[in-house]
Amino acid sequence: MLLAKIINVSMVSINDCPRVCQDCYYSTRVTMEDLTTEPNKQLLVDTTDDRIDAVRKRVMRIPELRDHIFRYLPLESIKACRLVCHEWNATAGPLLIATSWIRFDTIRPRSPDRFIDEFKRGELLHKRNKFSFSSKHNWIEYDDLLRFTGQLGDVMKGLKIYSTSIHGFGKLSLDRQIELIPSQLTKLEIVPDSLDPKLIVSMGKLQNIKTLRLEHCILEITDGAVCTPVELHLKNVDFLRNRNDLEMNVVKVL
Amino acid sequence: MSNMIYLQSSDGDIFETDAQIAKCSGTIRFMLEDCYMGEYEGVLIPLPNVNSAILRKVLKWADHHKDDPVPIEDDGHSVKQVSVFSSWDAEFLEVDQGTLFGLVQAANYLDIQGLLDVTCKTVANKISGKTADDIRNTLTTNQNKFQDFI
Repeated sequence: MLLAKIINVSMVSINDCPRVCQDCYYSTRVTMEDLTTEPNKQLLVDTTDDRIDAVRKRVMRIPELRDHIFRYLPLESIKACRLVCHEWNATAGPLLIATSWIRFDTIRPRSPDRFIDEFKRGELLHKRNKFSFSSKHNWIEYDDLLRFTGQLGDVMKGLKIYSTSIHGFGKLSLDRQIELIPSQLTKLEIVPDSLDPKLIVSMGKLQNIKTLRLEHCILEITDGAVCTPVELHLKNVDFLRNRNDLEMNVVKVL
Repeated sequence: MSNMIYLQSSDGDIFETDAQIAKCSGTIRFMLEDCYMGEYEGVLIPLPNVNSAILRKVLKWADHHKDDPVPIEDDGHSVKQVSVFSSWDAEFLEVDQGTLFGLVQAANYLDIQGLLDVTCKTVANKISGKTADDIRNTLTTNQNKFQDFI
């Protein structure tokens, strides 16, 4: 509405409008050639402290601009921004939660189910959507992992499994073996230290993926599935074209 | 064929520019394409939120980047990758804070994604690695330091 108003009132041809001609009389006309050279007439930038603070305040009071700026910051700096003032905290807090990963790297073995129980009292867990298993000291039953992704899979955006021993995987049916990956994941990294047998990842679950890193895995190629990651790292990955191949080869691999 | 249009800054100066360059701004592009149906030779567009000094810099940036590919929009939910500035951009953004924040504001108002990205990244570089106190000190002048962040 406001835009339409501005357009109706002000957008007229410079050659037709007497008001504009009057403006031209009083104002400076700057051409493209002038832009490439330093201005003859100094176009003053008011650099007084108050003016600088006023501009800075206007910018930093716009939540979308704060968010845009903070997204270029590393995690430690986002934490620092939370302490600057209430307004900054209101932007940096949710960003911190949205961008941080929950990492299972405790020395004692623990299952994700236990983690869910411990955090159930708070709402924090449900604001998190990126999870990482990244310690040689971790071991986990595949069934527990399935239950974990079953409970949080609908919000999960990122999953990393590094160096974690996964037990009981080989005994499951093929359908259960490819159930692990939630379909809305945007980041998936599976780099096992020693995983025998190999985890199976179905391309049908990778339609939203932006970052994909797989090592020592089996990637099932599904007909009609589209997977277009921006970042792709594959190493020692076996490809299987269809379910028949999968059943034949996996049985062989297992 | 070039279509020259005119942009009027908040302090009344009028800038003549090629419409193709000005159309890197989503705001201006919308005005030209939707309101003038392609017949916009000699049109004057007032920009009441951008002063002459800032508009001059914006047009200089737009002229330099006129052949850049259209940036791909991200989902807005992820931390942005650290993009590498061109040396021209780095030199272009060696300005005082008033000008830098003026450029952020103008890029936002004019909807110029590329300029918004590089200016926000430059502001982020000023904040990065600092404590909360240091950030307050960096982003405020001495006389306003204590009343700004409440």
